[in-house]
Amino acid sequence: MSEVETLIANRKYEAGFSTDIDTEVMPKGLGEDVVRLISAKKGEPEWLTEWRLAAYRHWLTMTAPHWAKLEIAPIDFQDISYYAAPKKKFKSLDEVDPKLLETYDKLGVPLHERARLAGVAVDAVFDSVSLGTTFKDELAKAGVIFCSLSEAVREHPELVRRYLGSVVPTGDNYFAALNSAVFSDGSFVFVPKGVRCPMELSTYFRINARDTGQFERTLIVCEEGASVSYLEGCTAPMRDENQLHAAVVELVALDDASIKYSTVQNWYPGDENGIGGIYNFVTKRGDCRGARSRISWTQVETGSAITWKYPSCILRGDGSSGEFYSVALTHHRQQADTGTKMIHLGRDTRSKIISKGISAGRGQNTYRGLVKVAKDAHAARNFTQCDSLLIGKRCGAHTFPCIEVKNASAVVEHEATTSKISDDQLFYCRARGIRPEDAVSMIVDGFCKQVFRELPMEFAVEAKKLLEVSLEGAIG
Amino acid sequence: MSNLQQTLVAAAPEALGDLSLPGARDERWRYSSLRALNQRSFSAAPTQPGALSPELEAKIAAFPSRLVFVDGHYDEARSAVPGGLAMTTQIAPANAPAHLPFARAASALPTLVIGVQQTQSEPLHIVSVLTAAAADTIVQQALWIELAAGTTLSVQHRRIVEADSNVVTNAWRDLALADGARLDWLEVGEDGERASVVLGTRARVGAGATFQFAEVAAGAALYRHDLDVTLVGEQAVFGVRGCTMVSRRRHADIHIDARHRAKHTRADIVWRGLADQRGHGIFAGQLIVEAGADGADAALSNKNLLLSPHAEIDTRPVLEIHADEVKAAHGATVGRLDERSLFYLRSRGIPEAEARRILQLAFAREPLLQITDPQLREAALAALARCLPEDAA
Repeated sequence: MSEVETLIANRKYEAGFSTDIDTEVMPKGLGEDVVRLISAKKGEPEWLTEWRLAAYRHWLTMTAPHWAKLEIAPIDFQDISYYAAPKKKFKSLDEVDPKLLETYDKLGVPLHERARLAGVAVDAVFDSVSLGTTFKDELAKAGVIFCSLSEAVREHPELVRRYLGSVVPTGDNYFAALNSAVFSDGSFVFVPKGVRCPMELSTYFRINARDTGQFERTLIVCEEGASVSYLEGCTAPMRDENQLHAAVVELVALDDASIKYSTVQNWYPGDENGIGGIYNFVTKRGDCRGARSRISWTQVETGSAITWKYPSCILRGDGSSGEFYSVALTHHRQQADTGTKMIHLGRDTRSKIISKGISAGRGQNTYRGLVKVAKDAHAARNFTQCDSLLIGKRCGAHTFPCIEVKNASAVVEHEATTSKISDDQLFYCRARGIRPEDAVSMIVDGFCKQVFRELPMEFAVEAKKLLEVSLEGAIG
Repeated sequence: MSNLQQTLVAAAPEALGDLSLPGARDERWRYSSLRALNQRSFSAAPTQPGALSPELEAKIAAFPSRLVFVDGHYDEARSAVPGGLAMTTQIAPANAPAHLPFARAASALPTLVIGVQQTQSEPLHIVSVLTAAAADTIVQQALWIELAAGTTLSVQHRRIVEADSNVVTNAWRDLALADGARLDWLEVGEDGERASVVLGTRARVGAGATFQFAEVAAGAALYRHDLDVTLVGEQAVFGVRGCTMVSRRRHADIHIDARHRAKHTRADIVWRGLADQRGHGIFAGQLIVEAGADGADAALSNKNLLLSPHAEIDTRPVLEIHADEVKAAHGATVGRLDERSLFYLRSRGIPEAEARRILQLAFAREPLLQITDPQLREAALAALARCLPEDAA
């Protein structure tokens, strides 16, 4: 074993505790009755129940996709409980069980007054329900709606109805169809015309209950000239079973709007033998509907046994632009098949893709992407860079980019490299008195720099810390 | 079952088992549709080499050392086989990989086996002639070339057609390079616009052996070449220098898989693509470094020019790395002719059409100029000049 490999061995997952709280869990199984029950529990209007049922019926006709470079143990959809929520009812965050608040405190997510210091509004989603959203009133003053999706269905049904499923249709793919049928909660953001959202918005997802899946749905709409920066974080307890997390995220940007969506994903990755961990199968898509709109995805993926997602941009508006910055780390037996799609439809559209994959242990890391320039997308421009860093002999790094160009005025560039942290590099650093762990951190940090600088500051610090923790023991 | 499939299965002397042709959802065939071929019905292929026009005879005779195939049949009389080659014909069960169904069908046919026992100083021309009689048929051909340890061979494979017809060519070439052998191969064709061509080439490259492949793909109604190369011995080397130049309604789909199986192997692929008018160029290049193939050095570059509003370029450079002491990189671009270069040439009095032609030629020549074998290089450049349309503007 090389020095680099021995340094990454005993990984610690700090968010691996579970909260002992009375939870109402729906019996396992999936059927129309379950879909209706979830809808009823949330007091949804008839149209939404029907929308869910249509998605469910469509899902029944679909087969699970196999094209990804992933080894997935068969998922028994009847062996999952599709709804779990703390039993005690509460009306606002002040009434929430202190145990739950403690949980978020432990995870470093501020849900009370102290939160003011952090200047981030948080929607906390615990299993299938949202516990509450901070700074709602302050945001409302600016005209920004930030609440759980269930609340939005009650308070702003016309907005939800107009945009829900307009970017990711119910039958888009297998897991999006499943999500459309059984989604339980998630966040809703609406920024009206001309408003710059006064603070960062954030959702923190926590899976706690056993044998459940989490199926949240996030919808963000920015009207003309509006802008928002949204962050999501997630963790789950350490368990020997695989839990399914199949989310859908839809972004809509109208003329001159700008949405920045950042993810720091830290679901439980399973142990070093690949036992347990979250299956993170997510559909994320942004629609640059308006002219000069802009959507930027930034993701740091360190957790999950399997990550399978492609945050994409549909560049429909003339002059719109899409960005994708990603760091994906796989260690032990983690697998990640992630990347993006940039669909250039409008004139003068631009996209940029920076993807950094780090594989350690027996981790498998795949970048899969599509850059498509349609016939009428005059003067489209794309730049893609995919770099892989290998730490150890048993890991894998793969790149599957696809470029389709139908307009002669397009300029599309793709480049990819694969390299490793060599013993020479380590030796160089050590000769200058830097400890091997720090040397690796430095090298990895340098490798990911282009992505980290896209993250809001607090998240960049967290992401950096996560990579350090995740790589702990990978080298030595 | 389409008539295409039936005809392929019926031609094989032994049962092919389940020969399923790629469907519309097959990722490897995403940009090349078999729909037109599936809707056709085919006549039986000619069983004997037919008569050729005097011009064709003269063209063939101009190649000093040559193996001639007419409508898929080896034509001993027209061939001029140099010394040091052992020729036999054998029938063996289909041995082409399962992901190449066309190649599987061809590999089940009587195969001409060429054993290279001595280094060949002159290039060997393999001339595949399609006569007018081949219209409406599927012409199949299978070839197995085995290079003994330390031998060298240079091959020019040329496809010559008597007249443009809707013939389908399905050719399979299995190449085995023993330790220290070297094979240089140039693939050029004069396929018509109505023709369909499916080529499958597999090469296994032994320790210290070198396989240098070059191709000028001018496309056809459907043109598909799968090149599947495995570097099985330590320090094996594989190089590709090629270009696609498709215009009118031509299509060319190049798939290259380079698999590093042994330590310290090297693969280096440079491909350029140009698509004009309604041409459709596709390039998929996959570099695979298997576990244990430490010290592999893999590089791929694919640059493309889109010259018309109706042309299309699709490219897929893929890296699959399962080892760590590896150097692997790929790059792909799609763009248009550089307006500044064009302006520069025009400002020096070169008419626009000519200036475009010069720039296109310069772009496409780049990889071909790097062909090490001088005779193959000349032949490749000549083939490129032939397929660059006169009305390049």
